[in-house]
Amino acid sequence: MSQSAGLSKTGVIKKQSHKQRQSNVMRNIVLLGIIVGVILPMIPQLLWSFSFRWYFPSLLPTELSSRAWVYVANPNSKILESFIVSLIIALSVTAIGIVVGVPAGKALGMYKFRGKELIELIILAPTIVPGLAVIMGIQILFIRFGLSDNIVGVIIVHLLPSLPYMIISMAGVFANYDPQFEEQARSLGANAIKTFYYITLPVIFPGIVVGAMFTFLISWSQYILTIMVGGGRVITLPVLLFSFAGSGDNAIASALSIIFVLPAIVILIVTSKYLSGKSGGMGGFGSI
Amino acid sequence: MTDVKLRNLEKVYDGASEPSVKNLSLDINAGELVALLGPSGCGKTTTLKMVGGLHDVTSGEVLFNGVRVNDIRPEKREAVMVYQNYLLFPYMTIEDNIGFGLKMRHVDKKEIKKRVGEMLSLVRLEGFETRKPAQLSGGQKQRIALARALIIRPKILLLDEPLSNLDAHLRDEMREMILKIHKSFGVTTIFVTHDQEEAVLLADRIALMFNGELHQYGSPQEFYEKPVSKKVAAFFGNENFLAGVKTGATVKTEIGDFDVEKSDVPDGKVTIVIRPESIVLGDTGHNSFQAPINRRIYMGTYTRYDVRVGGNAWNVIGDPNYTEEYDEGRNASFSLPKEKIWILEE
Ligand SMILES: Nc1ncnc2c1ncn2[C@@H]1O[C@H](COP(=O)(O)OP(=O)(O)OP(=O)(O)O)[C@@H](O)[C@H]1O
Ligand SMILES: [Mg+2]
Repeated sequence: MSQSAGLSKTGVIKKQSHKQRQSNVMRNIVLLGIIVGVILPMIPQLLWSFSFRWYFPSLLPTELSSRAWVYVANPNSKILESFIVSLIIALSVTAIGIVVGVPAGKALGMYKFRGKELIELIILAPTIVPGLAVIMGIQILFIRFGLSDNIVGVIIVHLLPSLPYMIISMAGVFANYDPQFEEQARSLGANAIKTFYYITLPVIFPGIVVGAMFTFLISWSQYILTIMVGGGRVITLPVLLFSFAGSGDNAIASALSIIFVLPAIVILIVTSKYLSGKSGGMGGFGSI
Repeated sequence: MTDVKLRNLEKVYDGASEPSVKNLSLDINAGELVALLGPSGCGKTTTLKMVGGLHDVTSGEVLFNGVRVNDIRPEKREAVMVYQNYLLFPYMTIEDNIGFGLKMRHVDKKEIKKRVGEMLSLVRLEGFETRKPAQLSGGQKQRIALARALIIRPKILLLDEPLSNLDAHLRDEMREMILKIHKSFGVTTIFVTHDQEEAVLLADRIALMFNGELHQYGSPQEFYEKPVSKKVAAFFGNENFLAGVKTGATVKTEIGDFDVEKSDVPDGKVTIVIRPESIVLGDTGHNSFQAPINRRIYMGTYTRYDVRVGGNAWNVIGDPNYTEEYDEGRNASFSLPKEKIWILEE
């Protein structure tokens, strides 16, 4: 009847808790959502990327070819290179996002201080105001500081739209966080570092994963900000993708878009556990 | 064995205008069980955390065996705090929770396992090793929290309201367990409570705080028989007060003169205090007076009378078998045995 009940070594009946089962169900729903919403729409793309000719009334490509994928793999096409550039940028943005976002989220989630509402508004602003609206001013500033046309500038400008998500995610975690757990660990003999490792980290980890995922994906899919600050010298995957999308070569554009969404799918699947249910990864600023 | 001394301890939280603990001095003997008692918000938890090193001291000193520990980090103090809400680490098993302190001290795994088993049998929760905190009742969590603190054999045990989240039955059981553990470990223990009955039942000595300040420190008996102020007496459930003027061994009041024993209280304005159960029903011919009975309440093992004495509402406790003379609305006789009268300076 109950497949989750079993006997532990000590003979005490161990049951998978109700909550546990519920969160497994939630996780499956999220995975199903990813498959239906993200992977299924990819099938035509996949077909396109292998097609040589595919005219309107036919349901499948009339002639197949691996031309697009050969092109993608060719170093001269710079596609793999731009993939790596995108990856370096997105990972750097994510790393910086975590380093800045965790303490900032802690401050916003746990402490009351004067001007907190204003700071929350400023942090949220980039998620409301489109990047294009402010990019001109930023560009001038970046040129002055030598951050224009290089990868460092791009990394910095990517933080603009992504950092808010990291901070909001962490603020949500810390709003429900009882600092007395840390005190308790100290009292029992853990020093500050061990306390962070054994007590704080496991609690905030889901929030970090969710925030990092948002940060990575926002940076990964950034186009306008990359073009404006990178000045055509920092070639990321979206920059290439846009140029091919306009070129009319559907096979290559499809192959590129598959490469483009691949990391997103991998990340979504890996982190789905933290996106579902009440894992604490999703929060907002909380009630304080 | 460790004794604890607090010297003019003061705590002002960041951003607070008032100190939460003021000028608190307290001596706690090695192996003693002391209750920090007081109403909500009077600074009990704050005091406990300063002893445990979990909150900084604003001014004053904390001394363990005469050594100042203000600057010693909590993990080095060997003064372990057990929180009111248990704070079991939710994602760790019970075994890992209890063993946490030993793990931090690099005790080897086998030894930890053995001692966790011993602790679990001490708190009568054998076989709970692999459970998670979420699978425990409140009383069980409380006992695990206690085991987790005791396993490291702390010099000082700090218990914040250990019984307040338990129902009446569990509370009795837990109280016995704390007494037993305190006896067998001989650990100097400070526990916080807002319940005077609990303090009386458990503590060797009680420190009563109001508003961040210590008002009285002494044995439970002293709080009943020799309260230092009307406020202390009222906190211990006695509001039988009567204002008067003392001259030598006599106190003149609005309802008559009372003989009192010699005391250090100087002549002048004073307040008489007497416990409800010390008042004698009837006219003994000494320190007697007449007063109207407003209410009579049968309590099973005794009867309680609400009596108007001068301008004050008094409680008098008498035999459960009352007589007609002590009916509600009657003007009845009462006497105050001289040796039971406690005098407070106004
Ligand atoms: N972290 C803090 N920051 C600012 N003020 C605090 C903090 N902790 C406690 N206080 C204040 O200090 C005073 C004493 O608090 P404390 O928690 O020591 O009281 P308590 O006697 O333990 O009360 P209770 O019985 O309700 O637990 C209260 O006025 C409280 O508001
Ligand atoms: Mg408290």
